[in-house]
Amino acid sequence: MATVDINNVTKHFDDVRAIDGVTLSVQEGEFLVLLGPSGCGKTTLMRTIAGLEHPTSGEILIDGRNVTGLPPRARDVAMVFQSYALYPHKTVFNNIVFPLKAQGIPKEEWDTRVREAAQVLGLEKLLDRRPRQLSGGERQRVALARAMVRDPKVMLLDEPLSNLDAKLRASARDELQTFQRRLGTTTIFVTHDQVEAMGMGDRIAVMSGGKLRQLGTPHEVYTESADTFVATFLGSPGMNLIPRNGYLLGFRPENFLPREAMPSQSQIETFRFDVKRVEYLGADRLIYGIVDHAPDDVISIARLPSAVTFPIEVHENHEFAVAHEHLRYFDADTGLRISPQPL
Amino acid sequence: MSDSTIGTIPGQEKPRRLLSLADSERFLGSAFLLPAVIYIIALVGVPFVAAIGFSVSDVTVGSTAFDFRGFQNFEAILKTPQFLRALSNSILFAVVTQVFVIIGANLIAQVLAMDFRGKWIARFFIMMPWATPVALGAIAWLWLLDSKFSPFDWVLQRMHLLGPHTLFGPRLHMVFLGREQLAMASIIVVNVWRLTPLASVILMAGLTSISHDILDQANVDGSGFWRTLFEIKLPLIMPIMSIALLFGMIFTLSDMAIVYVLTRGGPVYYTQVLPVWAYMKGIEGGALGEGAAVAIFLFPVLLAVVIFVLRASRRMEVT
Repeated sequence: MATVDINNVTKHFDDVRAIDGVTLSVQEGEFLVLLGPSGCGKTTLMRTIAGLEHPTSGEILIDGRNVTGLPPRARDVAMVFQSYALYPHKTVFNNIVFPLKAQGIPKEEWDTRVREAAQVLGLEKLLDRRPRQLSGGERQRVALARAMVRDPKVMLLDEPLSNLDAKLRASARDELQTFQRRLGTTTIFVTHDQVEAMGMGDRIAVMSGGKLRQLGTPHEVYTESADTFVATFLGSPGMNLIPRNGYLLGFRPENFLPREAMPSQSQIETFRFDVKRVEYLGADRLIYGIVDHAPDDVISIARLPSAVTFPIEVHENHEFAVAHEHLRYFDADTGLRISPQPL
Repeated sequence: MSDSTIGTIPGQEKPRRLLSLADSERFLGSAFLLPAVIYIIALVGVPFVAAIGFSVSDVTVGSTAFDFRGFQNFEAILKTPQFLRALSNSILFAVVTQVFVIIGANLIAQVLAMDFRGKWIARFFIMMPWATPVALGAIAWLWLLDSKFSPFDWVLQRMHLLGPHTLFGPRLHMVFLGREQLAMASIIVVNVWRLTPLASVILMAGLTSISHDILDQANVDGSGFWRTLFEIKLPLIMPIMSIALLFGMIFTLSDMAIVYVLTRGGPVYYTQVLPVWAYMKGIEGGALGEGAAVAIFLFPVLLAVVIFVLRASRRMEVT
């Protein structure tokens, strides 16, 4: 168990700034998620923490020790790759024992430690198999066992769930979180899937363009998004943004409801909403349209839960509303969150 | 007739039949395979059958008489002392060469698989011995190993390793190709020189095909250079290495140019190998039957090597 401190790290590949001045502290035993679209630098940041890439500038501290120039083997971190990177020619047992051998752990301990790790992940019966004889979920568990067997200070997980099918992914999410809580190992988890990030992270670090956009609990980054990128990246669909009086007014689709469906006592802002399209998704209805006074190319979306049965027709001009507490304000130029403005 | 009408107007039987022929997989399959089949039969099958025919006959270069002689040719060559020598030389030649080729090619492949400036030019130079015609390369080596004018002698003399009161002295010349063991060693060196590039490129392809994730994983797992080499890289390229080995074995066992140019099997017959002996007996000596019998003798040897290596490589296949 350890802390990880990333101090003003940059990483340039020729002219590309993969990481552009990121500062981030991971607490002991924390499950931190690095979230961002592909190419945002999250994987590069993780590889830098592992020591597979060396930062152009800045420093990385693990448990207070500066490891910036050290090779991976001197950092005591374990990593699970998206592809799981199991050694195809080794049995499950030999895959799991490999880090112990490489780290010079005494031979007498190998068997017990491998069996312990295998037991935690339910792999006891598979120890003699080779990776190609395993299913996707089993491979992922072998990769996790290999990561935990040496009791690393930090575990780095690079999209370990993205190779699983949807059904398996949900249960693997649950297993992985339980497993992390049980070990209490400081864990950094990279993903581009916001559902994984929201569901699993103690805190989420949202990245874009090599920069850290926001760091906070899932609730914070969702409800108190620091800028328009975070606001629109999170949520499905993301936050609606409407230009108004020189700033951007934001509200989430699930808070954008027909006037009739709003509780009468709340303070609300009303909009005339020109409905262009209705999508029926089972649990929800998505209403696409244009808010009056907004430019024609700014489509807003309302997400109506199936409990709201109020009929909405295409081409209808309907009155919609948002409660004041759900309105967010952003600077039109920088995209940063600003204090409430006159409506 | 415009293209668009083909096959659409009833009564135009001919284009229609052509079309249906072009759609028939059975016809197309045989048609596309035919050139390859003709090629193999004409250039591999016929000579092979002819060689077997020759080996059991008394056919010679000078006459068209063809009499069946059973296994007399084989008995005759088995009785000569050259035969055992040529067979054991062939095997020694192939095995020792491959040991050095595999070690050297692994070293070169490791270097070439890395990223460095001038990699392209390094690869180009390393491929040169393989790209040079065997006979030309062998002639260059013949000059380099000359009994009087060898530059190696000159260098050794200047280093005070050759000449009176020195390590290789008192003689002034090594006479690389004139002494039994030195001649064999020279042949092996030239063959290693020639075959290492191909093996290097094959192994390099194998090394670069190992996923970066696997190597990164080994790195994070704490594995150092040697452990990664012996526990990860070499086992993963073992199947492709056995293919390199197979090629090397076959090229060595069936090659006659190097031995023929450098020593013609000499001094006496101490560096004789089966292909050169077959050529000398059958073509130069005119005894086609006996020459064919020697050549045919290589067949079971090569077959055994091929079967062994291919089976081993399939067993080592991992993904």
